[in-house]
Amino acid sequence: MLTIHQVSKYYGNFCALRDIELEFENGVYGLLAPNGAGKTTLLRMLVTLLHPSSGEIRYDGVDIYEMDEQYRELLGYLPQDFGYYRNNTPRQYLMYLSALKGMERKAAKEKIDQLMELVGLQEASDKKMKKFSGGMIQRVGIAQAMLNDPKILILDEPTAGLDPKERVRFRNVLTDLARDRIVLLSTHIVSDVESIANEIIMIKDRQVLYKDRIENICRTIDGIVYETEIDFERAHDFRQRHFSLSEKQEGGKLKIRFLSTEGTLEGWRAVKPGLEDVFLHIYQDEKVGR
Amino acid sequence: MKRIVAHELRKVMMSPLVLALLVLFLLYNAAMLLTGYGSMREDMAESNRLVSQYGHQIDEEMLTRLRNDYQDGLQWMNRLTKRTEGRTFENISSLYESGTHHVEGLYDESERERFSNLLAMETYLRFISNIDSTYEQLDAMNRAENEIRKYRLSGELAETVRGNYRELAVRIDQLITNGEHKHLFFIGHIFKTHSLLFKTVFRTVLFEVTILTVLLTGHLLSYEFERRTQSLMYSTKRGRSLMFDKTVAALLASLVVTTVLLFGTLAIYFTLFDYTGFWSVPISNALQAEYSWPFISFWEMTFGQYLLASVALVYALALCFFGIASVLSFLFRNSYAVFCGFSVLFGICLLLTGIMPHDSNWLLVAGFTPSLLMMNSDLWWMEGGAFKSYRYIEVITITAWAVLLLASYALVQRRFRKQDI
Repeated sequence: MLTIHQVSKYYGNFCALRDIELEFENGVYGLLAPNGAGKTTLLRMLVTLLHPSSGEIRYDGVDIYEMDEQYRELLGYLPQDFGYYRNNTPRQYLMYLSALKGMERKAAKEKIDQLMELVGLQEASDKKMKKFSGGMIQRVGIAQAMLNDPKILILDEPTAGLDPKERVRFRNVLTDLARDRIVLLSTHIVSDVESIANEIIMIKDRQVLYKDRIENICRTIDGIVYETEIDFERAHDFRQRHFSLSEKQEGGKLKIRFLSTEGTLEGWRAVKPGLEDVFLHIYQDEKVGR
Repeated sequence: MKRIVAHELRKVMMSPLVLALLVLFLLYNAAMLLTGYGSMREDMAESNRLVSQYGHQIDEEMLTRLRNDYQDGLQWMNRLTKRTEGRTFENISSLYESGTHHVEGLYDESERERFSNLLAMETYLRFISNIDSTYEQLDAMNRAENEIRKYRLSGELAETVRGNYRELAVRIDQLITNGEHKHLFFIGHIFKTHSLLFKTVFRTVLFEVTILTVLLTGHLLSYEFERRTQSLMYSTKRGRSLMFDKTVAALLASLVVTTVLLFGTLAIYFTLFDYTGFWSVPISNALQAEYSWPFISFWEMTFGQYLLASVALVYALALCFFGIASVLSFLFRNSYAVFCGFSVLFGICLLLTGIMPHDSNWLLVAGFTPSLLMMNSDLWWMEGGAFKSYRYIEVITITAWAVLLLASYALVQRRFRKQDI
C-alpha cells in the first residue's frame, strides 16, 4: 500500500500542496483537477523527483526515499512533459530505459516487442522518433512506463495527443493492468477517468477535497443539476443567473444543462449528475480546461 | 551499470560536434607538422646519422673520433674544392657561405651529401666545445637574483625563490657530475625541437583535449536536462545515480579523446621527426638548450622518460579539466553554461597570479593551477624561472586539484541526490 501522510510542498513561500493525506491500493485512481492545482507536484513527489517540504510518503510502511532504488524499481512513470531522444528509434530508446530500470537485456527485448504491439507501434519500432506524431510519441511514453511491469503506474496527462481510438485502447489496457497494481492517472479531462477509475481524487485550494468512488462524489451535487430548453434570446440572462454546465442547439432551441439551488421550476428537469458536472461545480471559480 | 555506461558512451559517439572537432583537431595537428618543417627534418637526419656513428655520449674517445673524422673530411673537401674551384676553405661553413656547394655541375649528389655530413660534424663540434665553459658559468643564485629583480619580488617570496635556486644549485652540481649535459641531441639553438614538441605540439593538443573534454562532459551530464527527459530518466530504478554513470562515461570518453589526440599527434610527430637515437639521451643535455640558460630537469631523466612523464601529465590535466566540467555540469545543467563557466574559471586561474602581492608566497601558490600548468607545457619537470623554480609544482598542482575536485564532486553529487528535479 502506498500512503501519503501530511505531505506539504512549498516552493519558497508558495504553497503548492498542503497536508495531503492519501492511501492507494491496487486499482485505478484518477487525479482530477484543473491545470496548476498541484497534480504534477504530487505525482513528482510520488516518483521521488521532488522531496516533500513536510510529511512522508511510505510504501508498505517504508519511507520511499529510504527505499530508494527498491522503490523506484516498482515504478512506471509517464511525465506530463515527456521528453525523448529525437534520433533514437523507439526500440533504442526503450532499450536505454530498460537499462536504467535494471532489466536484463534479453528480457527487455522481449518486453519491448510485446509493448510495441500493445501500443500499436510494431511497424514504427525501428524508425527514428523525430518523424513521429504527438500521438505516436505519447504511445512510446506509455510503453516505457509499462516496460518494467511496474507495481505502481503513475501517468501524468497520459492521453494528451491521443486520438479517440487510441484513448479507448489505452483505457482498456489500463483496466487490465489495474487488477494487480496501483494505477494513478492524472488528468484535467474528465472522460479520461470517468469510465475506468475506481476512485477519483480531487484537489482544491492545495488540499485533497475528495477521494472517493465516482458515484459518491456525484452524489454531493444530487438535486442541483438540471436541464431545460430555452430560446436563444434568453440565454444571456439565463447564464447570468445559473451556472451553465453544457449547452447544445436542439430543435431551434438551446438545450442547457446547469446548476441551480433554487429548486425545480417549470420546464426544468432534474438530472443525474455526472463527474464532469461535479468537476465544473467545484472549479467554477477557476479557469478550467475541458 | 556497465550497460548504462555503454549507452552513455554511445551518446558521446553520436554527438556530431565532438566527432567533427576530433577529426578537425587531428587534421589541424597533421597540417601544422607537415608544413614548414621539411628542411629541418633533413637536417635532423644528419643528427641521427652522427648518433648512430658515434653514440650520443660525449666523452674523450667519442670526441677524438669525431674530430679525426672531421679533419679527414675537411682534407677531402679541400682536395675536392682545389680541383673544382681552385681554392680551399678554412672549414665547411665557409664553403656553405660561399654558396658554391650547390652550384649545378660543380659537385655531384654524393659529394653534396658528404658536405652535409661534414657541416653537421662541424656544427656539433662547435657547440660541444662551448659546453664545459657554459656549465662552469652556470650560477643558480645569480639566476635567482636576476629573476627576483625581473619580477620585482621581495620579502618571503624572494626568500622562497632563493631557497628553490639553492636546491637547483645542488641539482646542477649533480647534473654535471653525472655528465647528463654531455650527450648529443638535436641542437636547440638551430632546431628548437623541445619547444616544437613540448610547447607547440603538447600545448595545442592540451587545448584541443580541454575543449573536447569540457564539451563532451557538459554534453553528457546535461543531456537529460537539455532534452527535457530528466523527469523520466531520474525516476527510473537507477535514479539520480545515473549522474554517476554519466560521469564514468564522460571520464572514459575523455580518456579516449585524449589518447586519440595525443597519440595520434605524437605518432605524426615522431614519424616526421626521427628520434631513433635519442630516446635514452638525458633531457638536461646541453645541446638542446634554446636560450643561454639550458634546460635543467629537477630529476635525472632521459628524453624517453621525460616524454612519458609529460604524457602522464597531459592525462592528469585532462582528468582535472574533466573534473571541473563534471562539477560545473551539476551546477549549471546546461552544456553551453558549463563551457562558459569553465572558460571563466580557466581565465581566473591564469590571471590569479596578477593580483597577488609580490612579497608573498601566495603568488607562488596562485600559480598552482591546471591552467598555468597547461600554458607552461615546455617547462614541465624542469626549472623555468622564478615561478617555476619549485621542483614539485606539477605533482602538488595535480594532487591538490584532484583532492579539491573529488571533494567538490562528492558535495555536488550529494546535493543533487537531495535536490528537486
